Order: sequence, then C-alpha cells, then structure tokens
Amino acid sequence: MNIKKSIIAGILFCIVLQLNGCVEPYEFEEVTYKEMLVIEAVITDEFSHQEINLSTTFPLPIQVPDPETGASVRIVDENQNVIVFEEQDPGQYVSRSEFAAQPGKEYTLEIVTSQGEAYSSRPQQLVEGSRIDNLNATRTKKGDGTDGVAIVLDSEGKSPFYRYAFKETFKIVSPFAILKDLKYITNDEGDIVLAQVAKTKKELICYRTEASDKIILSSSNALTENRLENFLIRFLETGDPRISYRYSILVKQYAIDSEAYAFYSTLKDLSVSESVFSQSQPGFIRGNIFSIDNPDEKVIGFFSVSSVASERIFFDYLDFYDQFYNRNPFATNCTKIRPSVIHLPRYVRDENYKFYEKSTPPPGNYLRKPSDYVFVPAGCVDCTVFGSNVPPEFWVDE
Amino acid sequence: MEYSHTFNDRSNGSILFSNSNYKFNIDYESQFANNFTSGYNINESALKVNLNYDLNEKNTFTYGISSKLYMVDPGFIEPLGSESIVNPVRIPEEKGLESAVYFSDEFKFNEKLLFNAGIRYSIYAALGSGIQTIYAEGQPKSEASIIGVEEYGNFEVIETYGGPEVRISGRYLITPDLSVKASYNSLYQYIHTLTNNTTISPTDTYKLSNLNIEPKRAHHFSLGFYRNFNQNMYETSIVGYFRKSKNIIDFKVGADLFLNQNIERDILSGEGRSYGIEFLIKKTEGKLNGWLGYSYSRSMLKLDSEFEQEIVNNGEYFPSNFDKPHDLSLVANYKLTQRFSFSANFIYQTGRPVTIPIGKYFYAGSEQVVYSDRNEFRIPDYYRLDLSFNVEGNHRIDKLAHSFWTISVYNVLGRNNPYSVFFVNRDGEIQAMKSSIFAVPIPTITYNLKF
Repeated sequence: MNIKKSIIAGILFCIVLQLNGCVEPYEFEEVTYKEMLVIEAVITDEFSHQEINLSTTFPLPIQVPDPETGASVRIVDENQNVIVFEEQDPGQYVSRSEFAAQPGKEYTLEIVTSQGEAYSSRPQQLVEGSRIDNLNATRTKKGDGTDGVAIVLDSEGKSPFYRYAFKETFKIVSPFAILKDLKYITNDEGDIVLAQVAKTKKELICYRTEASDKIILSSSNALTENRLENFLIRFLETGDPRISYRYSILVKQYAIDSEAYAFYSTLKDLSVSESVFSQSQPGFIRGNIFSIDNPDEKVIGFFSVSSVASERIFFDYLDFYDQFYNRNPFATNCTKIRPSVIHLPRYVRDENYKFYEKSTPPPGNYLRKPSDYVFVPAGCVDCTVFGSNVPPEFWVDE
Repeated sequence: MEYSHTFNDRSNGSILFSNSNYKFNIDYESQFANNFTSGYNINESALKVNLNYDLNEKNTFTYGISSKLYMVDPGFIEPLGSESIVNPVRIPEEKGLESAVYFSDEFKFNEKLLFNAGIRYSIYAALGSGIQTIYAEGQPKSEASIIGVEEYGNFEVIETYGGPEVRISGRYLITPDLSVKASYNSLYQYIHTLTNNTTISPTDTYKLSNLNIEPKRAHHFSLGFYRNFNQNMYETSIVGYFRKSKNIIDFKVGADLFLNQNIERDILSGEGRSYGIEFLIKKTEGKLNGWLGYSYSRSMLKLDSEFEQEIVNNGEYFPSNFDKPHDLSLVANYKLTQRFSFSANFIYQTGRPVTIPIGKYFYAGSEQVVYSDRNEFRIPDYYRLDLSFNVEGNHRIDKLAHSFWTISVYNVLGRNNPYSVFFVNRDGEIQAMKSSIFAVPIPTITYNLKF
C-alpha cells in the first residue's frame, strides 16, 4: 500500500496588515421609502367615547411621529349600525357618542383616508374577560437581586390572553421650598431694580402622569387554567423618584384573542433592544386591517374589541421604606450656582434657573466679582417643570 | 475506517465506520458585565455495510444497509470571566438514529446507454432523553396551545418517520465526445438547517426532526450535457436541475434566534422550489490550465399557513437565505517553466438576501420599527481575486522530501466583502452596519513539504 502524505507548512509566514474583521456603517442605496398607514384601534365594553388613532410611518432618520389627518373613520356592526368617529386632535379620532361594545356582535372598522384610499378590518367580536381580582404593591427583590416595589396582579380566567396597559401618577415635591422669585421690576421711582417677589403659582407639590410604553401580555394554557397569580405589571426600583412620596397606578386589563396576542407579542419581540442576546427574526407584522383596493398593501396595526377591567391603587413611600436615604427627588441635578455680578442678569432672565437664596459670598478667590444671589436649576424649586400643580380628579391623599 | 473484502470475482463488500464532529463557539466581550461564551455541537457516527454483486455483463447490483446516529448539543451559554453576570443556560441534547436499506442496479443496456435505478428505504427515530411538548391541534404552536408534556428516557423512541427513496439515472453517449445524463431522486431529510442572517455573526444550526418537527421531503430532477473537445483537452458541460421540497423549516417573524429552548413554536414549515443551470469549461492540459464555471440558480421558499400570524410575505415564494442567483468562479494556472508557475482564482457571487428596517412608527406608547418583506433586499455582491506564484524545489529523484514555496496575495482587490449586515439602535436611530473579514489584501508565504 502506498501511503502518500502531504504535509504543508512547516513554516508559515503570514504578514497580515489587519487581521481583525472590520465593522463599518453601511447604506442601502436601493431602498425607496414608502409610507404605510398605521392604525391603533382598541374598542372596549366600557361605556365611553372610544378612541382610534391613525398615523403613518416615517423614514428612519426622522424622529417625529406623523399623524394621519382628515380621514373618515367608522365602525359598522353586523346590523349595519354605524358608529362615527370624529377627529379631535391630529390623528386622534373619538366616537361622536358614547358606546360600549356588546358581546356576540361583530364589529368592522372602516377607514377612508383623505386621499380616498379605503381600508377595512376583518369583523371582530368582543373578547370576554374577567375582573382584576387583586392589584397589589409589594416590596420585593427581583430574580437578579434588584430591590424595589413590584405591582402585581391576580386575575381569574375567562380569556387565555390579556394585554395590560397602565398609567402611573406620582407626587413630586421640589427639593427646595423657596417662597420668592427674583425678578426685575419697576419700582415707584420708575427704575428697574432687582427684587424678590412672591411666587404667583404653587411650585412645591406637583403631580405627573406617565403611560406605559412597553407591551405587557399574559397568556395561559390548558395546564395553567387561565389563572394569573402575582403577575408582574410594573417594577419600580428602590430609589426611583416616582415612589419618593405618593404613587398611584391605574392598570387596565384588556381581554384579547389569539390573533391579537400574536400581533402584540411579535411586536414586542421586534421592539428595538440594545442587547446582543435578543436577536429576533425581523419581518413585516401582519395585522387584521386591509386595503380594499389593494389587498397586498402593507397596513400596520390591529383592530381589537376587548372587554376591559381596570383597577387603581395608591401607596406611600413610607409604606415600604422607613429610611429616607432611598428617597430621591425627581429633579436630579441641583447644583447651586452663584453667578458673578456680570452674569447675574442672564440668570435672572433664564427660565431654566430659579432663585434659591440671597447670601454673602464666602471668602475666597473668584475669577470675577460674585453676586449675592444663588440659583439652582428650575426643576429643583419649581415642580411644574415636570408636572402639574393641580392634583388629578382621582387623586386621594391619605 | 473502512474494511473491504472480495468474496469472489463477482462480489465484494466493505464495512465503513465514521465519526464526525462539528462545532462552533461565539465569545462576546465588551466593557459591560455581559461577557459570554456560547456554542453549538453536532456529532455523527455512521456505520455502513455495502455489497456489490455482478449478476451478469449487463447488471451490477449494489445493496446494503447503513445507520447513522446524530447527537446534537443545540446550544449553551456561559458567563465569560469573573465579572460576568450572565446566567448559564444549556438546551437539552437531542439524539436521532437514521437507518436505511438500499438496493440499486446498474444496467448496461448497450455500449452507449447506461441506467442506474435504486430504491432506498429509510427510517428515522427521534430518541430521548428529553422532554417533548404536546400542542393542541388546529392552532399555531405557542405557549398558549400547550396541552401537555412528555418525558422520554435515554434512547427511548420519541417518534419515527420513514419512507422509500427512489433514484433513477441514465447516461447516453451520443458520440464518444458528447454525452447526456438525466436523473431523478426522491429523498427524505431528517436533519434540518436553520440559518439566521440578521446578526453580526450569522450562524447555521442543525435541528433534528422530532415529535413536533417533520422531516423534509424533496424531489430532484437534473439534466446535463457533457462535451469534450480536442481529445479531452477541453471538458465542457451544461447541467440544469429542478428541486421541489416540502417541510422546509424557517423562522417566524419575531422568532428568538439565539438559544431558543422551544424552537418548534418559532418555526414554520414551508415549501421550497429551487432550480438552476451551470456552465463549466475545463482545460486540463497545456501550459495554461484551469476551469471557468458560471451558474445561475434560485432557491425560493414559501411560508403559507391557514393561520394569519404564520403567513410570511403574503404566502408567496421569496428568496431563501441561500439564494445566490449568480455564481462565477475562475481558476487558472500558468506554468512558466518546470519550476515556476502562476495561479489566479476569481470568485463572484450575488450577495445574500436580507430583511431590513425601512421606517418607524408609533404604536402602543413607543416607537416601533417596520421591516421590509423577508429577504427583500440583498447585501453587496461578493467578489475576490487571489493571485499566487509557485516556486518548486529542484526535481532530483533521490531526494527525501519535495519542497516548494508559494507566495500569494489573498483578496488582491482589497474588497471588504460583507460577511453580514445587521442593525444597531444608537439613541433611537437605527443604523445599518456591515461586518467584513479580511477586508484588505493579505500577502502570505508558504513553505510546503511533500513526502
């Protein structure tokens, strides 16, 4: 037998100029941007003015959403009853009269844009759901050890799929309670002087409302019997300024069907994330609304008719914490600034800064002659930078 | 390892045993506590008994049995370094056994016409240990349609698939220089390839058929014409093929591509259609030799379903991840003298298809990205030229070893061929990035020894 061996490279010299792979930005030239209609339509069984939002997609570099105005929006039920929606704000269409979706009826969404393009959804029926049995806030540690307050939910049955949305309202207290503003006023002699004047608006206690921006979904199957226990809705880390005083959350539970669940969960999977781990297969997410003239046209969005349940809870900082070292103000950077005499007028007129105190400058070397006035960023004195000083109508202080 | 034995002047046989292992690792390091190492492994052990029997002048039978054991480690991730807070995860191992019996006959009709017909019956058994999830019928597979779980012991049979595979081929010598070949194959494939082309490091993983994933079926037709010129100095051929497949798996929109523990929920089963034509010219003798090949081929996939959420690209055929319409390659060697020769190698391929973000919109309280149709766009074409120069050592017969030097430049044109195109989110702005490897000409010197 003839064994032939070929041994290559006893000595191999590699002169490599740049061995690392290189990563550089890339532009796709052949992409022509096409605008697509985006429809966000959730109708519930709550007797109210129901709302539908229309907008369009915008190209990647632009960051401003594009409302779709001037469209005719209506919902038609199986008996040809029409519910008309009127545009209240750009892209926001509200039902002319209050109504609640009824079980067992089929509702179809019909839209005609200002350009005359017609769209229709597939008929949807009300998905029945149950109440929220329990909404609680508890102090707990997450799986990775983060400590904080978890808002959890118990809910029983009926629908295997739910989507949750919340609105949280929290009390903001300014770190510094300053009674006066520093302003230039005309005195009795007609000169313009610098004076401390009483504030014209309340700036110490404010309320801010933020809506959920992540998609929260729950699903159960035959093994778990449609029961949800301690389902996490929101987690607020210890030190989050939102819980520093008093916090309230309104949770809405929407019962959805499996198609709506698939739509929202795919949308959630493709939500842009920073992580290297979560790589999801991209693609166009199919909804249930189609163009009548061109059935292949891409329309973004889903029309769902859901039974909705809502629950609101309140809690105070002291319910969970007895130390104040975790209590952070909403205004984060409150460095005191003492402007020089030359720069003083600039600070008096700047809306971004508020008067803190009048005091003698401490001895030391100053580049320029310091004034007698100290300022802080506006949010440290005036909480209306972040919210409203009028408590919302549902707010109760205990 | 192969053992051959000749029984008599009519029959002989061999037993073949082989083992092969393929694995890849990805190591990720950054300044955050996210460093990890992850990997994938597939091991195949095969045993084949092959026998040949010459019935008569016209017929030769080939028959035998074969068996292949697959063991797949679908993926693991572990923290890398002491600061990493990554949780280790390991997807349970999969095993499968594919066995087959086959019989074929090579029939020499006459000097010009040769047929080969064969039939193979294969059986595949998905083996435990493992846990298989059972889903309700008539619904897309998802967490919500789970109705049970079944646990299997080591090497316990989970599910079997099987069927006959037919092969027929014929060759006709029109003239001694010109021949035509045609063939038809039907086959089952029990191991699936899942590719992802959206990440910075595109990888292929292999998935075995199991309780929830059926094997792939394909029918393959080919027809080719072969012509030699100038006493076999030039060999040319034109070959065309057409293949239709069923049960090709690919990812759903939104599927988790990395370390997916329940992949059957994230994949769709589709039909494939691929066809192509290849031209080849080969010059085997003379100072200048080499070959030039060009092929035009398409590989299309259709993912349609009764469930709206599973339909991809409106249920129409679209280019698969492997679709490469144009593929040109040229290899040329020029022998200057006994000791000096040049060679050149040129490749041109159409870029791979890719799905890209094409806009943004507002939904459910935040900004979302809208993507194009699956594989609607392509990454830039790949082309590369390598040149090399060989210097042979002297040709003394009584030397112990023969040596030669090669000086070559890889990627002479310095093209930064994209390895992958992916997208990153920079402060709310989506930016496409291209990664390439060896983006500059690389000169090398090699010293070779041949015993």
